[in-house]
This record gives sequence, structure tokens and C-alpha cells, in this order.
Amino acid sequence: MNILVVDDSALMRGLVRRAIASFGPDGELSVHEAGNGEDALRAIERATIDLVLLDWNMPVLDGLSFVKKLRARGVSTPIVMISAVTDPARIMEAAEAGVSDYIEKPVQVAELWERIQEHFATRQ
Amino acid sequence: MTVPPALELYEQELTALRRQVAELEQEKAALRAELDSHESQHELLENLVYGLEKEQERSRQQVDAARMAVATLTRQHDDILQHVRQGILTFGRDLRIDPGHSRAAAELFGRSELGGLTLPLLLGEHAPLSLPRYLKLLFDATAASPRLLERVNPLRAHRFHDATGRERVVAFTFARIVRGGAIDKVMAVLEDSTELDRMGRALEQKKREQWQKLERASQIMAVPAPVFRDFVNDARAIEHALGSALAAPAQASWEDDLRQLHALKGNARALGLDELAQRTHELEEAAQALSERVSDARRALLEDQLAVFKSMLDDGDELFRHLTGLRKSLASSQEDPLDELLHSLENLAEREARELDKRVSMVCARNGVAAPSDQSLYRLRSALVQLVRNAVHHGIEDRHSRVSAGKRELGSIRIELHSDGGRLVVTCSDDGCGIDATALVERAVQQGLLDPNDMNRLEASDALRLIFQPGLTTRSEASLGAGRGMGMAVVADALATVHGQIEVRSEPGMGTEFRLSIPAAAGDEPSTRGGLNEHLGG
Repeated sequence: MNILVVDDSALMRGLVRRAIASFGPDGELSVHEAGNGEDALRAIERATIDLVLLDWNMPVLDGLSFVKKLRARGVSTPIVMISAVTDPARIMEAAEAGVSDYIEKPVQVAELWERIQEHFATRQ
Repeated sequence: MTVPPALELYEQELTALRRQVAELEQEKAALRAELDSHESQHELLENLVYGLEKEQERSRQQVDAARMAVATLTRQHDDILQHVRQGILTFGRDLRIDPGHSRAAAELFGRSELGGLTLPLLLGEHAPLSLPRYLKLLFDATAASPRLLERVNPLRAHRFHDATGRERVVAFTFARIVRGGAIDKVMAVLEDSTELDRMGRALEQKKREQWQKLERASQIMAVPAPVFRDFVNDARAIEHALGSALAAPAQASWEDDLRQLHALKGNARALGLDELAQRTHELEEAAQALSERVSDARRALLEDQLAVFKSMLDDGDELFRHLTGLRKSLASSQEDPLDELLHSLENLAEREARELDKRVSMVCARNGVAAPSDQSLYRLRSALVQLVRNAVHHGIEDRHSRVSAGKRELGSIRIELHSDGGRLVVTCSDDGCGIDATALVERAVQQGLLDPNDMNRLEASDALRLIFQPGLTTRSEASLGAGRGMGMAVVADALATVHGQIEVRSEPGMGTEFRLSIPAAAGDEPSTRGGLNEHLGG
């Protein structure tokens, strides 16, 4: 399984990586990283990604625009958004664009791992 | 050798017959074998038929059971739809509600039928703006997880007013029904959470009240029982006086009432009954307003404040009675009432100083004096509370002024007790700014309390006595602490009640000293104000 973590904060990417490393099974999950939406689009072209963990506010190409672009290309990779946005109207916009799940920042590492697991369980 | 032809024929015939018999034997064996196989087949078939019959029977039973189960389920389903408290409804992509909804769903909206309606139509003006968007999302956002859908559900707690005008809260939960890989319908489960919502809020309210009660209880617990009783008696007397004043504001003796209120406020504060002190302060403001000018609004304000004050007093009284038992069990650990008074004055000074950002040290010297009667002690408390507050507020200067005046930053207040013949003498002194007698006289003239002709004939010591006049203050704003010019009048009042006397000396810039004296054995004094017991005394 390949997970792509898209966040402009290296700290946040590190946190997700640690969450997966400390909770996930050895060697079964590999983590790819991208610093913005554009990088993420390129990463998805290069490798088969099973799950995208996506920040909302990012330079170059923000999370929501990334989702719209990806879906327009017909790519249906599941996307879990991780953001500090709390306005239901904006989160609804993300759902309309094709986001699968939404996690509010600040993220609890254990909760993040639980959601990732939940996601793979419903896929199988 | 020749064989007779007949024999040869016979032998040939025999051979043929033998062959025939053998063939027949073979045939017979074959037939037998065939028969055997038929027989076993028959047996097999019979078994099979038997088995099939049994199977059929079992199937029939199963079918019956299934039929019954279906019937039960159908009945249960109907029951559920009819009687479940939850409303259940479904709708398709056209958003029209299917006719087979639960009765509860319709009843939640005071209707008998919802079929054909859409949710936005049903909710009308109460429908959230984002509802159409959300309903579309339910069918279109196939990737969205149930959790995400619930996160953006605009009807999670739908608040509206029903036909009778009652506020209701209905919680909607939506679930997608997938058939053939596509979202076929959406089911909505509606739950009336009005009661839950109300209970939740009532619980919050209850918790707050409990907390307040607990705090009040802890405050009351800290007050010695006789002191609290006197306090409540005072408060009741004021409550009655204000009640009469409200009925006839023009005939009321406002000055008296305001003075009593001010004393009560000071005592409440000194006793650590903060909430009551705040209430009394607000009551005082309202009474002051009405005393200045009578209007409906001012009358209503005082009425409201009086009602709140009364209910708080009732609560306090009730709490006090509840606490009596507990108090008795703690009685052995209670300190001497006079020590308690001195401690509470020290606390008061510290608290008031902190609020004013002043530095004050207060020293009390009891000098072995015996505690006076409860009644005397209560009045002494009223007087000393006002003196200490005045000393902190008006006597001790702020830190900057003290330093510029060449004084220590730390202000000092001293209370000393001693016996003098049959009297208990208390001096209360501070090293503050003293009383400006000239300003006091000017102010008294301005307020019409003093005839301008008398102004120059006034001795310095008499001028100082002006501070005992109610309403005279050199401050322009009243606060919970002090400043309405009532404090000294309260002191004079309290002492008069127990046949006490008061003297004041002041040195501008150096400080002020009050000297109080009361009969050491004051006897039983009337606890209510006024001269009710004039003829009972002696």
C-alpha cells in the first residue's frame, strides 16, 4: 500500500510518517510526500497511490483545487483531507469535489492511524 | 465304424440343446444380473424418493417457518413504522418522500402524510440554506464516507417552532441505500431530541445552580451563626422597609433605608458573602435611583432587584438552617467571636487593598479584652467594617502618592482594643492622608447640609464630625467598595444602637484616628431598627 502525504509543512508530513511508522505493520505501507498540489499530481503520475492524506491550505496548488484537478482527470484514488477548516459549508465543498473523509486539525496520531486503518478495511 | 444316423442326429441335437441350455444359462445369468441391478436401482430409487420426500417435508417446514418469519417481520416492520418514536422516511433522487414512512416521522411535523413532499418543502422557512446542496451530495458524492456526510449534515440538530409555537429539536441522520452498485435511495432517521436538548440545558443550569449553592454554603459556613442571624434580621428589616418605600415612594425615609443598605452591603462583604454584597449593591443603586426621581422604570428596577434579593436571602436562610447541624458538629473548632471579627477585618483590608492596588498592613491588638454580647459585637462589626474600608479607600493613599509624600509605600491600619471602666474602647487608626476638614465644610455647604453663616464659626473637631452626616462624600462615584458618603453615617447609626460613642481626630497628611466606645455589657438591645422597645428597657 502506498500512501501519499500532501502538506506544505514538513512537520506535519513527519507527524503522519511517524503515525504510520509507529502504528502500521512493518514494510506493508510506504509513505510518499509532496509539498503542494502540483507536486502531488506529479507523484500520482509516477507511482500507484492507494490513499492520499491531503492538507487544504498550501502554496502553488491548494488541497481543494488538487482534488478537482485529480477528479477531472478521472482518477478516483481515495482522499482524506486533514485541515483546520471547520466551516461546514467549506467542508461540504470538499465533499462535493470528491473527498472521502475529513479529519480536523489538530490531529491526534492514534486517531489518524485509526482512520487510515478504517479506510483500508472498507476497501477490502 | 459307422454310427447309426439316428444316434448321430440325436447327439447333434443334444449338443445343440446343450449349447442352447448354456446360452439360456448365460442369458439367465445376464437377466439375473440385470434383475439384481434393477433391484438395487429400485432400492436406490426408493431411498431417493424417501429422501426426497423427507427433504420436501423439511423444505415445507422451512418454507412455513420462513413464511411465518416474514409475516412476523412484516408485522414488526409495520409496528416499527407505526409505533417507533423515531421517524423513518426514504426518498429517491427526485427527493420526493416515499409514502411508506413511519407515522412518527409525520407526527414530528404535525402532519398525517409526508409522501410526495421534499424535505425543503416540509421544513419550509426553517430549512437550512445548505439543505438542497446536502441532499444532492447524498446522491452524488459517492466517495464521501458516512462520517464526512454526517460532519456536514445541516439537520443534525434541526431547531424549529411547531404549529403551537413550541420550540422543538429534531435530529436527522441520513444513510444511503445502495442497490446494484448505485445509490438508490436515502433513508432518514428522525429523532425528537427536544426533550433531550431541554434536559441537556436544564442539566447545565442545574449544575450552575448547584455550584452557586455550594459556594454560598461555603461562604455562610464561614460566618458565625449568631452573626449570620443578625445579618439576616437586618436584611429582612431592609427588605420590608424597601417594600413599603416602593408602595409609597414619596413618604419613604430614603435616607434611613439607604444607610441601612450601605451597612448591610459592608457587612456582607466583610463576612465574605460576596454574592449578597453584590446583590445589596445593586439594590442600593436601584433604591438610590428611585429616591432621586420617581418613575415607572425606576420603580420596576427596584422591584426586580428586591425580588432577586429576597430570593437570595431565602436561599441563604434555608441553607443556613440546613447547615446548623453541620455547624454544631464543627462548633468545638470555632474560634472566639471577637477573634473571628478581627480576622475578618484583616481579610477585608487585604482584599480591598488588593483590588485598589494599594499596599496595606493591618495590625489588630485585642489586649485580652473579653468578647461583648452578640448584639454589641454585630454592631461593632458594622462600624469597624465601614471604618476599615474607609481607611483603605480614602485614608491610605495610592503607592505613588505615598512615596512622593516621603512615606513608606506600605500603608498601616491599626485596631486596638482595651477596657476602660465599664466600657470597651476600640481605636482604629491609619497613617493615610487624613481628612481635609476645609473640603468637608465646603462640600457640606454646597449640599445644603450646613448654613454658610456657620461655616467660619465651626471648630476643627466639630468640622470633622460632619463626616457622620449621611450623603456627604468628597468622591463623585459610588462603587461596591465605597463612595456614597454613607459609610460614616452607618458607623454613627451602629454605635447609637448599642449606646456607643465615637470620636475622630485627624492630622492632614499624617492620618486619622477613630475612637469608639461601647458599654462592655450592652444587655439585650432591640435587634430591629427604630425605637420599638422604648418602654421595655427599664
